[in-house]
Amino acid sequence: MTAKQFFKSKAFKCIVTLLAILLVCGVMLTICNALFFVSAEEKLQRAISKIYGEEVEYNIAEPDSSVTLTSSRVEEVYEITTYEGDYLLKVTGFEGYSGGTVTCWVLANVSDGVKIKKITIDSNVNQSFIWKVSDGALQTLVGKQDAAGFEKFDMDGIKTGASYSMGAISNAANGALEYVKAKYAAASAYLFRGAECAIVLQGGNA
Amino acid sequence: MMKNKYGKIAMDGLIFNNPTFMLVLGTCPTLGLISSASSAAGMGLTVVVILTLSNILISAFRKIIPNEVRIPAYIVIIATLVTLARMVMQKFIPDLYDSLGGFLALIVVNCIILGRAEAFANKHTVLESAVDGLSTGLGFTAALTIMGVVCEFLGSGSLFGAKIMDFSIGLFATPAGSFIIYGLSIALFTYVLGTITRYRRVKSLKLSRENLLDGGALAEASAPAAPAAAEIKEAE
Repeated sequence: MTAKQFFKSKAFKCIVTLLAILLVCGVMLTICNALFFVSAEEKLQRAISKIYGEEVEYNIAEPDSSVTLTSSRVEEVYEITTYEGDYLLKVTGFEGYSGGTVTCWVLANVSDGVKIKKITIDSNVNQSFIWKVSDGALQTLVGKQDAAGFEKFDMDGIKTGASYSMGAISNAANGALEYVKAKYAAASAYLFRGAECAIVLQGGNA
Repeated sequence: MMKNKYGKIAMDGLIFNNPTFMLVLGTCPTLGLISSASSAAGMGLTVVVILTLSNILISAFRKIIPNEVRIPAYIVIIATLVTLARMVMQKFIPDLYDSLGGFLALIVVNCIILGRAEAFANKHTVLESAVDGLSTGLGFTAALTIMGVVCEFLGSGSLFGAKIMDFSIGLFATPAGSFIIYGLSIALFTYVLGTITRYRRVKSLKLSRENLLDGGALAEASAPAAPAAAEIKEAE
């Protein structure tokens, strides 16, 4: 087959058509990706509006890699300045369905011991039945103070139909509690003790 | 005539060739998602958009795409549309995006979309293909939503997320329960459709018999006239 014959052949037409379709689709997807990209900032704002229902002020804190967590990883940490003692953490829980992960936003408070105030799901990897995890199931984690207080799959009798995904979520919640305890609870206790001392000193002066 | 053609395409997609109940296509998302009515409806509406757009595009390019590479070309077009839909949903409807999970990406290999592209869109005009895509998608949505309502009501005691009763049967919140509801729905749909079709056939047979009888009566009425005419002729 000569070069001229090849360019006139059906095979060449097929290759050109497929390449043209691929090119057009690729360009269109690139443009749309730029248009519809959801940034980390936008995700954070969505999480905040879901948790607080209003805009709040916060300080960004760098996740401390020296705090060792076995079944989770802390991705982002925010200190909420509008509400005292609130820490918003983006934590990825491991050991989900099919070896996947679930990333959650966990709001922990240190004012009255470390406890979870709210938890929402951000994203997941390979969790086909994550939609079965209802708000009611997530509510079982709220108010918990001790990481050992709730184990994987023990959700106060609530059956989600997505046990492994729920396991990854509880791993994320455990991780957040452990992290906040290790990083902020000690400082918080010290802060409160300092405040008590100041009150005593003030009383003494009076 | 034109209205009839589009009406027939629409009725085929919605009822007579319903992708879920009659063609039994798209079974994977059906069984995976019908335990929640809102997820089922969301999946159905996403399929409506993708199916209509893919039918339009494939029909528009049917004379350009060589027959030998039509399947890879269709897959590329459908995959692009699904990826676009995912991007749009992630940006504007994040809750629905999260609820559909992995099933959203699986629309690329949904037999309904490739099936309609191969069976209809590459042989018909753009408008006909659009009507087919829309009606088939709506048929799929209706089937999924109806089964979703039943499964959610029985499995979780709720409707579209709103709690209705405390009693629930856990089996119906799982794909195994969905399979039972799916089978029963197919049986019910086929029975109802069969009954309607039989009724219409009987009605049309009755009508044609009445027409025949009317014709026979006319013939009988005109029969004595014939000898009379003959008699007249003989008399002449």
